[in-house]
Amino acid sequence: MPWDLALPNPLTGEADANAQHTAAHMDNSAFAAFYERSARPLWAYLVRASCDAALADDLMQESYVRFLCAERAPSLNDDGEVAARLYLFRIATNLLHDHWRRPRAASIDELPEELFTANSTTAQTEAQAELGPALLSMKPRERQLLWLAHAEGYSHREIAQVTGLASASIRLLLFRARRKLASILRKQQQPAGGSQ
Amino acid sequence: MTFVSCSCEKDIRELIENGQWPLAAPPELKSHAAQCRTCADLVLVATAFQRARTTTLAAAKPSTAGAIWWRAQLRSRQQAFERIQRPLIGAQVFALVAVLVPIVAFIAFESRNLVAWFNSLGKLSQSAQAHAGGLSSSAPPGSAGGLIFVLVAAAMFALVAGVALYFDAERK
Repeated sequence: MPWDLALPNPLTGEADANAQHTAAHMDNSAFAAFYERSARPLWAYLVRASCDAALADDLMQESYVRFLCAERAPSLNDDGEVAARLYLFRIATNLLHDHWRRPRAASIDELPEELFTANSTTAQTEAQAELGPALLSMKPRERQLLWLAHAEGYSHREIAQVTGLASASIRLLLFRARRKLASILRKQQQPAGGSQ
Repeated sequence: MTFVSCSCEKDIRELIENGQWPLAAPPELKSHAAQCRTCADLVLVATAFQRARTTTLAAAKPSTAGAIWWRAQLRSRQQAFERIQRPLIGAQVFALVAVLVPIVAFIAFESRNLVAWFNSLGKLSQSAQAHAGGLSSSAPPGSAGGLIFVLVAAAMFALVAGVALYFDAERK
């Protein structure tokens, strides 16, 4: 048999027959259902962490493609949707870090905020919103932690799985980030409260 | 900044995540949150994030799952192809080395004879007749066999190059 016949052909509908070749942990219909449930939360996480809608679009697609191609990705049937979702968020987080590291070889915590907010259409459109300006003054890592904890409702252990940080340090990092954001939000609310 | 934990954090967080804060929250918990800095921060931040999550989810316009699945199939096919290609490239490199090593060894072994042969060629360039006669008489012993060896090596090289070109065309 010619070697190329052993490969799946996505243009001829052979893809479904060879679904196990692409994603041993998921078939087409299971993926569609999983995607329906997880795509919006993942996009929301990416757009809030990056403050860039176009980047969030790209990274979301790449995250799913890598998730499907990964040999060790959790199975929906065996490991459950929570594990699959955490794995997906982990991929997205790594892609975000890769993107931030690309322009220069420095830690993402050392990079200036302007780098993450430049040309940000989302940031511009949400400048009037309550959380938008406050988030822009936070570090990317802090935005990630806060979003995962308070928007997605992940536990410290789950956040550690997604970010790759030590579970013990999540508690302190989250506390600091929350206090910092609360201070910013209070400062934002003060002028509005004073004028009323 | 000193880390301060509060035992009410978990309850308040659950109420916020379930959308029950502040309407369905117990009055004592609400009064506690008004006094405790840690819980007040939690309420302020978590409620803001819950509202932001609602608006962001509504703004999301993800592409279709089929398009993602198709891209993953293409990626998977490409990865499988690269896995297959790896040993082929190794075999091509091995074949190239197998051809080049004998050629280099031959040149090194026959270098002295070849220098003498080239010198005789230079002397015989004065006349066409002398050149023809000198070529046959001054050829060093064993160089005819060496030339055959070179020709065989060149043929092998051409064969390997042809195979490599074939696989390269197949890949494209």
